[in-house]
Amino acid sequence: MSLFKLLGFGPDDEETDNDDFPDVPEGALKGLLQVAADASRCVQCGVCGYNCPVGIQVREYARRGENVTDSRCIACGLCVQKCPRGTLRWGPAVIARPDFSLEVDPDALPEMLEVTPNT
Amino acid sequence: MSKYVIIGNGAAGVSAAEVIRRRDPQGNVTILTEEKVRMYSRPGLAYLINGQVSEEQVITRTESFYEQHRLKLRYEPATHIDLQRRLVYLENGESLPYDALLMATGAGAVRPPFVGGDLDGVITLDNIADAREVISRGRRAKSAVVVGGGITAMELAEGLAHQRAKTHLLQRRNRIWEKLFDPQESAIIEEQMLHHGIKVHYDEEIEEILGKGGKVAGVRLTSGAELPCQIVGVAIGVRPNMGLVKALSLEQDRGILVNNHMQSSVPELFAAGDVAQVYDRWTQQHHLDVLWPSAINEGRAAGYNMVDVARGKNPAYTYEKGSPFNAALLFGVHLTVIGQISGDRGEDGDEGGAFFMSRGSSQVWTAPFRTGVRSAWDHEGPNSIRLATAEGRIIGALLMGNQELADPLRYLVNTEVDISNREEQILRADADLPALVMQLYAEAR
Repeated sequence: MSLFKLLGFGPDDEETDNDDFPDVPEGALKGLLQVAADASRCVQCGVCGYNCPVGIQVREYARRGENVTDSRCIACGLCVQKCPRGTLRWGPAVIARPDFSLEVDPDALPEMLEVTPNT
Repeated sequence: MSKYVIIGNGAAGVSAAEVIRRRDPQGNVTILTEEKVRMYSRPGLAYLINGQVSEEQVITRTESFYEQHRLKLRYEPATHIDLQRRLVYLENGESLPYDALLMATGAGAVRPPFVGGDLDGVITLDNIADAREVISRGRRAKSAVVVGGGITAMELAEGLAHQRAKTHLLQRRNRIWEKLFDPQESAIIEEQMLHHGIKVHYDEEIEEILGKGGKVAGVRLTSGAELPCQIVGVAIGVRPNMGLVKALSLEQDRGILVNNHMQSSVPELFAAGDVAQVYDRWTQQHHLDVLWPSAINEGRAAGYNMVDVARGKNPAYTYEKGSPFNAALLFGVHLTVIGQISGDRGEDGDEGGAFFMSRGSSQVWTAPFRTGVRSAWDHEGPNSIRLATAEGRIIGALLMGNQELADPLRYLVNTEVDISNREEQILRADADLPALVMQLYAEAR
């Protein structure tokens, strides 16, 4: 579905064959979806952030398993499309990060591990 | 103040350092690396060589990361370890004392065993220096020959082709991944390889690499045919970097044997990542687990327990290895292999083994089952899903194309969900596997 059509330009039944444009679900543009990540698939290659047109370091969210909550995100979907490991997908929006900031600190340490009792 | 020494600056080493710093804000943490670069994504090297990411971007920690968390990154290799005195020695004779030591030295490419393997122009895809070689040599070369049966060989081929070298890929069997794929799945990948300009040679191996003036000039194949080339890319497996521990009194096999706290037979010496050999509950043996997310999880577990041990306590964190989960993007095709899968579709309860597929191991291994392994398969356009079942469980899956089912299947395989009342339904030729998988997943949670 093309961005062009989603934004309301052109006749409703216009079929576009634009494979170059990533698949942006309707909800993304209405602000209902965000880029979500499965940290266990992330190999921190950085292809996501490399392709981000607004320069968000998507990797820093992905490796933490967090949604991209950076307010600059325009939900273009390029990172989702380009990720070589299927780490990124569209997920329900969360308001903010656990610390209520919108941006992630790329150098922040990970959260503490949960401890399995020593049996 | 506790002293931690980590040998290796990759996924395992850095992940351990992060957890150590979290738990022990005062501790002294030193990371040694023989590479002159900050932590980078080794899996990302495949995307560096095919132009999808830059070298700067593939480096995955900033300078400020190490500074801010007071992780002393030293671009110096360790030369030897004194277990009795708990010292790590550097080239200049300096010794680093430790309360806990982590071996995170990773694994390196197996060197080519054939004649000519040491000629200039024989390359591997082990590290960032290798990736630079692939790019610079690939650009200048007219043609390249790649040998290897796994994912790395394919990534190497894709990278060299992207650099405009006419690329040949040699395969030992008569189709891609004959042991794991069925003919349709092989064909999907092979078609994409053709589109990427790669010529695949089947039933072929390298007999000898031919040289001229010390440089690669071509290869002679087992069939007798000769291919001229300037590059031979070798991806025939990896071997844990055991140089520092070989002579030590430490239980070791292919890698360093560790318990479920990532401890070796020497309690204050831990191992994590490609060098560690961890317990696998499916085969009930210790195996290497050459995957990036495993390295991170192992590193974090090791880091957690290193703090306990440094404080004279028992290690509290128990690591549990998951079933293999291998995701790749091969020539534009998304592929995930989970657990063990069987080499063919298996019409009716074939006893053929089901194989774990891992990176870096040309050997495949099987888990013993009381009953035979059976396979179910569903195929729609470019999307393919195949399941392997045994003893009333889904023991593995292979997904090509659409990856929506990857997480549900990983859950079902890892938690060994009992599907015995659905097994016959799944194995029917007309089964709608995606729907069945989603149903099982919903019921299991």
